[in-house]
Amino acid sequence: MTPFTWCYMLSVWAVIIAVNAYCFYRILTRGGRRDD
Amino acid sequence: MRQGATDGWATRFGLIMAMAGNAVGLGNFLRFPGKAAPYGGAFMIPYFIVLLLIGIPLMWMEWTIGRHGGGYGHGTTPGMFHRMWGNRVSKYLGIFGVLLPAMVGVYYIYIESWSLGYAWQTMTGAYWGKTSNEEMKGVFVSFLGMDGGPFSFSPQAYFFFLVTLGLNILVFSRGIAGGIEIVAKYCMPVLLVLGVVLAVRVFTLPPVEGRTVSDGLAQVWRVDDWSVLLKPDIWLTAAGQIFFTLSVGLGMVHTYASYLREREDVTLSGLASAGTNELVEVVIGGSIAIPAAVIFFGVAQTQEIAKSGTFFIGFYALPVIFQQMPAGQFFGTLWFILLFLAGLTSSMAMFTPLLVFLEDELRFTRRQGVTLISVAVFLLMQPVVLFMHHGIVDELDYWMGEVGLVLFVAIESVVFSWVFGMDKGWREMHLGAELRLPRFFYYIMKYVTPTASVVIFLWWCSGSLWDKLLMKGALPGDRPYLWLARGMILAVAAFLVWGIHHAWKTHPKFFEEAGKDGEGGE
Repeated sequence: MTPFTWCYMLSVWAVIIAVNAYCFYRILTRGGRRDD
Repeated sequence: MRQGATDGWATRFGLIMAMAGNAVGLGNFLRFPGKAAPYGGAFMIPYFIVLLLIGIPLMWMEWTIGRHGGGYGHGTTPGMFHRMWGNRVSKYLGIFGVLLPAMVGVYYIYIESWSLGYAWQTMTGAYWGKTSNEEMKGVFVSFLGMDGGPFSFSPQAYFFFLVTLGLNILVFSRGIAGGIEIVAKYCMPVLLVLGVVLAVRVFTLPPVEGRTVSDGLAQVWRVDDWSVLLKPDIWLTAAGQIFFTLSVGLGMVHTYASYLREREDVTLSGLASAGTNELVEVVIGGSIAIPAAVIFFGVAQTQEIAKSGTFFIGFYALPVIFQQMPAGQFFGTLWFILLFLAGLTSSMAMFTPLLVFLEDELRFTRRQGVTLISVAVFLLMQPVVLFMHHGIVDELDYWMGEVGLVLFVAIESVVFSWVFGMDKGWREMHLGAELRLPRFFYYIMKYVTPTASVVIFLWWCSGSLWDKLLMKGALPGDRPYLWLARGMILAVAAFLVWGIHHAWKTHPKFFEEAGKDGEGGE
């Protein structure tokens, strides 16, 4: 792995984790029940 | 929620976990390494492009189609397509959304049962001492009973098949809130924890003959040869992997989404389920099988193993590796339990569209529907189990899991974006949306996704379709069994055609004109 490849991989991981964190933060802070 | 439905999602977290579980499956841990390894890091470039331009937009489309159809009392794509396009053929195009998941389920459950069997074999150390790929191939062949005789039968594999089938029937027969949602809510977090534990184990492996985890990750991420991107097959493989891993083009997302309320969010939820799938596939799945295989076998041998068969890394190579690592029996058992849970969270959704079709369109009771499906699936699975060595699984997978899936993706994206109309589709998608999509995606969904889907399908057809149709290269002794597989597909398809014809003739709600309340194509 070159430094560039590490940066590329970690950037992709960061984007995926950030998307998940954003979505689940929005979903869970609105309450778990669908009728809330 | 779908008109007339007595079942539904109890919690939003449960809905997201079920949708994510539907997507997270054997494709994430077995198919992904098998498809990516031969190309090296170049594979990830078309993979992410297809994900962004086709995969995620399709996910949003399917959630929207499902919720829209559910508002009219349709839980499956024949009725949903009928509501989007008031043409008499539209409902028949929707057959794929019931046929594909059911027929994929027929062989998927069998593969899933291997994971359970291998978890048991690993836990008991049954194959310990078989430390080469060739020896593990022998273990695999023996486990499935493919080592001679007219049938591929072994009591052990058959036992695990029965357990897995029984478990799937038990879950889906209990419905959405009482079965699928409960299993997804508990299995998905467990699956994530198992995946992280295994990835950490791979990251802490000591070097083998100078090869480190860095070399393993390079096989997933480093692009050594950019010219490979000019070859069509890497794009088709990446597209096939995205469709399969997101479980789009199969009809299951539509059915799950049909239980949403009219103004319940689909954009944020759709992105969350796709995001969870990518977390499991790219971050976790990409850090287990390929890196471990490269550390122990080197790049060349890993590519050779992956090219030999989609499941060879998971069932041949990794068991060899587990035998060479400290606490390998423990981590090996975790690996196969992980595969089994991933398979279960997908397979439990596969017969749901057929069950809902029987309930909604043919007026079956839940009990009647479950009984019919259980008996039919058990019978259809017998040739899969007993004649696997004649290529029945490969034949079903080609027509249902590859051609059928790509065809249905093309159909649904064209129907949604061009027939139903993207303006109407965009408005429908944003009803109650908690995430306003950038306008960029409007143009992607209007122009790029349907065009690319059709091109991919035509490209696919121009490749191996005719050779496959004419069974070129198939052994003469295998041909009757390949015809049997095709006969099974046609029999189920014929039943569904009859079912749709019958339902539209007999059920009052279908006599309503699709266009009278402003629905139908633009």
